[in-house]
Amino acid sequence: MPIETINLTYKYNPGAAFEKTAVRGVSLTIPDGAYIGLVGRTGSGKSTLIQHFNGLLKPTEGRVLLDGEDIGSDKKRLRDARRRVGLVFQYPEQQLFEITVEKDAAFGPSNMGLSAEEAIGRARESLRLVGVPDELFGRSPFDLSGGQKRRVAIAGVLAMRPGVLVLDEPTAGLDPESRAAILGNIAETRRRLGITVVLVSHSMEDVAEHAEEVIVMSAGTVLTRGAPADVFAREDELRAAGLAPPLMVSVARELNRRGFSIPRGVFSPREMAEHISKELRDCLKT
Amino acid sequence: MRMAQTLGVRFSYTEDGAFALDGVSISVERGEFVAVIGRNGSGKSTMARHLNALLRPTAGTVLIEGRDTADDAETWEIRRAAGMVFQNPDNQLVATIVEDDAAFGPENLGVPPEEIRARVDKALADVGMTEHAKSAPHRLSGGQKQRVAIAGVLAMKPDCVILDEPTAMLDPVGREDVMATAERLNRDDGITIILITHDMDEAARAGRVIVMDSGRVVMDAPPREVFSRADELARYGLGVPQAAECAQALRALGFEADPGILGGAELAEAVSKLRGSGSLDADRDNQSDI
Repeated sequence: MPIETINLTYKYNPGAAFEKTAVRGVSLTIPDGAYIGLVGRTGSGKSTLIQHFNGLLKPTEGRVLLDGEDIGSDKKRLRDARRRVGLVFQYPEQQLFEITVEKDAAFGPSNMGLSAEEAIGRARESLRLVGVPDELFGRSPFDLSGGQKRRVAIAGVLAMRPGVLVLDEPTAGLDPESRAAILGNIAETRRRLGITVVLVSHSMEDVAEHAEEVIVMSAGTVLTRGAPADVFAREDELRAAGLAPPLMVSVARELNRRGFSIPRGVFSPREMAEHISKELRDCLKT
Repeated sequence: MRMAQTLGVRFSYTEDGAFALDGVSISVERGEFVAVIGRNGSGKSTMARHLNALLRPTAGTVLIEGRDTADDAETWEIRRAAGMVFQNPDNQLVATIVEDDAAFGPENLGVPPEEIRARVDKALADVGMTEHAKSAPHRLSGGQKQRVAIAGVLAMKPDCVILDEPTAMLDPVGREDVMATAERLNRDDGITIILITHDMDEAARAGRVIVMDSGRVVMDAPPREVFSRADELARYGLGVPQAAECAQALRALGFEADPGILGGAELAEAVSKLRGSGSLDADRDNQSDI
């Protein structure tokens, strides 16, 4: 279920004194099954762009296609897009409201017209998928920890069985353990359901570790896209867009300046240690 | 002089519930830069809110420059001395113009107008926002908004600024903006900084790191020492800075790398030295594994 934007432009308050073009002329494709990391400074247009993927925002100019069909062409397509492209907003736990965890996660599917039983069935399935233990299903979502609340909110979106899951900063404000766990849950969910994932993040380390492709936005346009190893190697371009590459990229550059030959695309500290170790030992042998 | 001291502080949000703080005793000297880390729900923010009398202990005592937060008569002086900046930049700016926002605190204290003018100008200069003095806060970036929030605290002439996850909602440039501002205030003006954060690299920039878990202080030491204890930190749901993780992985592979390495440049330097000295003797047995 590819998403395609054609010449997409979005203006806030068009025609008014405070008109602001948030996205300008963006044409891109999110291929089926991809794991995309979407990065860029605050105000670069990421959040505005993703709200077009399921029709929450209507383009000022241009079109959005889902499976080749314009989602703005009629109400049925729009409704369809809302279900098939699941959007998880920043701090989604602020939108939890039901009396139990499973009822909260069942809200989306029951809204789609499924029976209460079916809706709860889907909710449970989704909750398990993102690692919420069964014994919490009957508890109030407000009694849970920050990381668990966020999982419940993600499960609520997954319960709609979307083909594309778009997450806006899903780990903001979480401790390192919860961050790693939630990103692990998302990767596992993608592997099991074969869904497309778009991860909006300010953490280049998280994007480097999980995404197969990176899209960099700057001032409402797509600055560059490609494999993490290529995109994160273009340090100057990234810095001009207000971003910094993952720390290990800078370490590799510094080491290579001193005669090492660490290859591109080494992002994790452990992997870096293995490369360093190998080079040091090779160097000792000669 | 002692900036802040907590003595056996316990606190419960509910009548009979669990203690969010369960016997916290810490002491912060004037001029220190202290980071507080801990998993979600460990009590970090609850503790921070005790330091400017937003919360008062269920048991125990909190002293700010010797003043007891339990004493109502001291509340305003305590809030002046220890100002607080929160996570969400959009929830703490109150005025429609940046300089009015920075003036809000001293106006409330009844400071004379000319004195307010001088304080606001200095506060905005201290956070590098002078050129935005007449701007509307909503047109600023997240990092700029946080700097305005810090200026609002500085206009109260505080001795201590408490930052509760000030960078959580910011992009990398905004984060660096806020961190650099905090470091400058600490270094140049001697303002005590207490930084609550989930970012281990930010915590590594402090002079001292306090680790909290289940409402208690479980570690309290300089960053090099705290972050060289990765296994212990993992038990508290925490990690170490990336450079430290790499150095520790190198150690596990048999190299003499300092586990207290905190930054990328330091790591690169240490690795170059390893090659220079050819010091592979730490653990030759590991060689077969590679």
